[in-house]
Amino acid sequence: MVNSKPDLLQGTLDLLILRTLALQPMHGWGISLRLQQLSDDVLRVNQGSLYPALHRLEVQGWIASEMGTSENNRRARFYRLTAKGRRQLATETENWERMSLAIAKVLQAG
Amino acid sequence: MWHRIFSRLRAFLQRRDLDQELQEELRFHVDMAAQANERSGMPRDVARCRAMRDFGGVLQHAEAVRDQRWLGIDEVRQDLRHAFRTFRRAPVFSVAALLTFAIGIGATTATYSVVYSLLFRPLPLPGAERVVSVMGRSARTGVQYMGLPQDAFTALHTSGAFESVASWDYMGSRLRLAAGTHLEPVEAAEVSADFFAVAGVQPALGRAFRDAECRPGADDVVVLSHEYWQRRFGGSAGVIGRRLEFKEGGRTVIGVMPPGFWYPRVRPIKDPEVLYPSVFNWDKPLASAGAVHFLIARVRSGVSLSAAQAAADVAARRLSALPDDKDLRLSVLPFRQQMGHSWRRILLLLQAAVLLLLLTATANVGNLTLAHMRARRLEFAIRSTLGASPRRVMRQMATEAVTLAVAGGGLGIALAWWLVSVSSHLLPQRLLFAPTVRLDVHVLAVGLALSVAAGLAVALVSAMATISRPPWTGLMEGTPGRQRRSVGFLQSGLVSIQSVLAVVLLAGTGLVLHSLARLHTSTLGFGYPLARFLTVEIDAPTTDGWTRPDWAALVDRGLQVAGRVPGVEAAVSLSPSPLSMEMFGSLEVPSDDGPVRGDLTFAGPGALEALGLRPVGGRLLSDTDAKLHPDAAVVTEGFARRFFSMQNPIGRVLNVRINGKTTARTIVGVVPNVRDRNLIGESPLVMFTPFDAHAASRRRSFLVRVSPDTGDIGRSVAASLKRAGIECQVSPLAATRDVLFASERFYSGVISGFGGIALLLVLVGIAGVVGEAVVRRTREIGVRVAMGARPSQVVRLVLRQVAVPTALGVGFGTLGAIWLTRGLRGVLFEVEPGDPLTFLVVLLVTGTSALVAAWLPARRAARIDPVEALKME
Repeated sequence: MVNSKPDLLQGTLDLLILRTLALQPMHGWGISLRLQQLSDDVLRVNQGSLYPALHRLEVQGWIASEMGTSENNRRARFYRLTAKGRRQLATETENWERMSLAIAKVLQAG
Repeated sequence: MWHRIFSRLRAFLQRRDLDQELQEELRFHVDMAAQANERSGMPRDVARCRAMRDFGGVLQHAEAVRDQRWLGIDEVRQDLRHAFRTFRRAPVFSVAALLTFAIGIGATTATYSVVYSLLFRPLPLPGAERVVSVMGRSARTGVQYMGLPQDAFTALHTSGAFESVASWDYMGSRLRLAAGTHLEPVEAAEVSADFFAVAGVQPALGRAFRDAECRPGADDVVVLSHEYWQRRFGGSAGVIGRRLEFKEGGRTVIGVMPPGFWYPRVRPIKDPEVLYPSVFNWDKPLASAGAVHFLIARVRSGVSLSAAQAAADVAARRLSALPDDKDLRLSVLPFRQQMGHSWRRILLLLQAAVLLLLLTATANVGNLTLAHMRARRLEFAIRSTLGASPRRVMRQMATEAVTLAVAGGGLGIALAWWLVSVSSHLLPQRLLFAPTVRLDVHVLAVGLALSVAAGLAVALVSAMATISRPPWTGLMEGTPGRQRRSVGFLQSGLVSIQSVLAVVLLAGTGLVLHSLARLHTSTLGFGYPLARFLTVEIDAPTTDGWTRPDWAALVDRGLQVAGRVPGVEAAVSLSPSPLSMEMFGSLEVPSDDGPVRGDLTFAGPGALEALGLRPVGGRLLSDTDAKLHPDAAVVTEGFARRFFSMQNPIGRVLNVRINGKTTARTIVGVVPNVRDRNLIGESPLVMFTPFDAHAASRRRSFLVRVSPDTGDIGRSVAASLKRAGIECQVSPLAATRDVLFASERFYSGVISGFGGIALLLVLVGIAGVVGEAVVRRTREIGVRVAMGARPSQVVRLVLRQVAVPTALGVGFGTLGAIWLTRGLRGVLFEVEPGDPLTFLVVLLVTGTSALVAAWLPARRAARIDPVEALKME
C-alpha cells in the first residue's frame, strides 16, 4: 500500500524527530524544516515517511500531540516529547553514538 | 502496552475526527511549503504546485498514517462487504459452507455442553470437590454395596478424615399428603441430620434436623424445598411449625431450603420436595436392625482423597460387617465421578467422534473453498494486476472464510442451544444442572473458538491456493474452463472419512434405539408382557402394636380380595417382587472359584405360574412344597448352566448359604432366564424357593396379573382393597421398568441426537461437493447436453463422483462400527453390538440419504441450458 523508499537508515528518522522535538514542541512542517536547517540542507525528509513516523512515535507514547494554533494563526497539530520519549531519546542517542563510533573505527582500520 | 491499546482503540472509535485532523495537518504542511516557496521568490501558483509535487500524494500519505493505526479497520469493512457480495454470487458454495459450519459447530458445542454438564461441571454445592460417596465392597466376592450398615457412620466419623458423614437417599421416595379428601403425591428424600453439613447448604428458613430427630419415634419432622414451599404454601413464613398430615404419618415443618438447592443425585430422580430424617436405631444390635443407609460425606479440608480412602480402610476393620459378609471394605469415591458412571467412556468417545466430525467438516469447507477459489482465479488475477498486494488479497479471503465460519458458528450456537434444551427436556429431573448453552460462558467460548479456528483453517487453505501460483497464470487461464474433471482426491477422501464417522455414530444410535425398543417390548423373561403385571404395596395400618403375624394376615387378605377383582387373573405372593429393590435374603453358592452370588426369590403358591414361567425341565413349585418340601428350589437356566453345566440338574442337591446360613436345596425344576432390576448385562442367577416363616412374615407386597385390555384395572384393584379396609399403592411393573431405565433412555436420546446430526453433516458435505462440481462443470455439461446427453445420463455422471468415496466410507465405517460399538455392550439391552438387523437399517438409511443428498444438486446439472452454459465462456 505504501511505496516508501527508506531515505534514512532504519530508525534514524525516529531519533532525529525525537531530537528535534527535544528543543521545543513543533508541528510536522516545522520538524521537517528544522531537520533541513540543522543538517545544513543535507537531510531532506520525505513527507511520506515523516507523518507515519510521527504517528508511530505517538502510538509508542514517546511523543504526544494536540491541535494548536500556528505562528500564522492556522490550526495545526503540535507534537511534543513525553517523559518516556525523553528517556528513549537518551538511549537512542547513546546507541547511535556507539554505532557511529564503531563504524568510524571500521572505516579507519581499512 | 496499555498506551498502545488505548491509542488504537481511540483511533478506531474516533476515526472520522482523526481522519479530518490528519487531512488538515497534511494540508497545513503543503500550505506552509507553498508559502516558503513563495517567499523564496516563486510565483504563487508555481510555489503551490511545487509544494504539492514535493509532498507527493496526500491520500497516499494519509493511508500510510492510517496503516499505523488500527488494523486497517476500513479495509475490513470493505472486505466484509465484498465477502457478502461474493456469497450471493455463489449460493451453492456459501449455503453448503454455512450449513456445514452451523451443524458441525452446533453439534460439537452441544455435545461438549452435555458431556461437560454430565461429567465435569462442578456440582452446584459449596466446596463440592470434597463431597464423596462411600460404598461397600465385599473383599471376598467383589460385590458392591450401595447401602451400608449404620455403624459405618460411627466408624467413618471417628476416623477423623471426614468433616461430616450423612445418610442420603439415592433413589428418592414419595410421600402422600392428605389434602381434604384426596392424597397429593410429594417427592421426598430421606436424609440424616448431617446431610446439610455434607451438602454445605443449610435451610434458609427454620432449621435442619437434629441428631435426636434421627431416632425412632422422634422423626416426625420435615424440611421443605424452596420451590415446594412457594408452590404449595405460597412462600408463607408461617409454615414453620405447621403439621403436615402425610398418609405415611404426620410431620412438623421445621425448615425450608434456599432457592435452587440442588439435591445430590447420581441417577435421574425428581427434585425432592420434602426432606425427612433417616432413622437410626442405635439401641438394637446391628444384625436385627438390618436397615442399610447410603452414605455421603464431606472430606475434611486439607485431607486428600487417598488419605480419606486410607482412613476409610482403617474404619472398615472396625465394622461389625453385614450379616453375611465378614470382609466389607469401604470405598471413597468423589461424588462427581458417580454421575453418568457407566456412560463416561461412551460419552467421551462420542465427544471425540463429534470433534473429529467437525474437523472433517472444516476440511470439507476448506476444500470447497479451494474449488471455489479455482473458479475465482480470474478475479484474483485482475485484482493483483490492478495493484492489490498479495497480503491484501489474502486478507480478503481470510475475511470471507472467517465471516462464513462466524456466521455458521452463530447459527451453530443457536442450534446447540436448541439441542441442549431438547436434551434437558429429555431429562427433566435436573441431573444435568444448568444445562443451557446461553448462560455458560465456558461452552460459548468453546463454540466461538471453534468457529474462529475453523474459519482460520479454511482461510489458510485458500491462502495456500493463491500463493502457490503467480497471479498472471490466472489471467492466462481465463475462465474456469480447463479444470480437472473429477472431484479431487482430497475431496473424495473427506467424503469417505465423513461417511465412516457417520456410519459409526449411526450404528451406535441404531443399537441404542434398538435396545430401547427391545426394552419396551421385552417381557424380561416372564411369560406375559410387563403391562399385565401390577405390584401392590400394602400400607402400614395406623394402629400401633402391629406385629409381623398381623402383617402376614393382612397381605393374605389382600391377596384374596385382589384375586376376586374382575379382570385379575392371579394374585400371588412373590418376594422380592420383580424389579424391586427389596432384599429378602442373600444367596451365595459355594463354587470352585469362591462363592457366587445369586438372586433368592421366595415364591408363594401359583407364583411361578402367574409369572408365566414354564419349566424347561422338572416341575414348578407346588402348593404343598412349603409344607412337604421346604428345600425345593426352581432355578433359571443360567443358574443350572453355571453350577451343573451339561448335567441334568433335576433332583440334584446343592449346598447354598441363605442369609449366611448353609442349607441344602434340591433342584426340582428349571425355568428360562428372567431379569432383575439390573436390566442390562448377564442374566442373574435366580433361585425360586417356597416361603419360609420368616420371609412370609416380612411380606409387604404382592403381585397381580391382569387379563389383557382391561384398561385402568390398577385403580379398581386399589378401590376394592380400600373397600376391604386395606390401604395400598398399586404400580404397574412397566412403570417401574421405565423409572429404572430413565438414565439409559436419556443417554440413548443424546447419542441418537448426535447420530442424526452426524448424518446431516455428511449429507450437507455430499450435497456441497456435488453442487460445487455441478457449478464447476457447467460448461462441460452444457457441451454434453448440446451433444444430446439425456438428463438421466447427466445426473448419473455427477452422482458417480461421490458414489465411490461414499461407498468406500460406508464400507470402512461398517467395519469400524462393528469394532467400536463393542464398547456399548454394557448398556445395550438384549441387543448384541454387532446386531445385523440394526446394521442393515443403518446402511440403508446412510445409503439412501446419501443418494438423495447427491441427487438434489445433481438435478440442477440436468437442467443446465446448453446455450447459457456455453455463453459463460
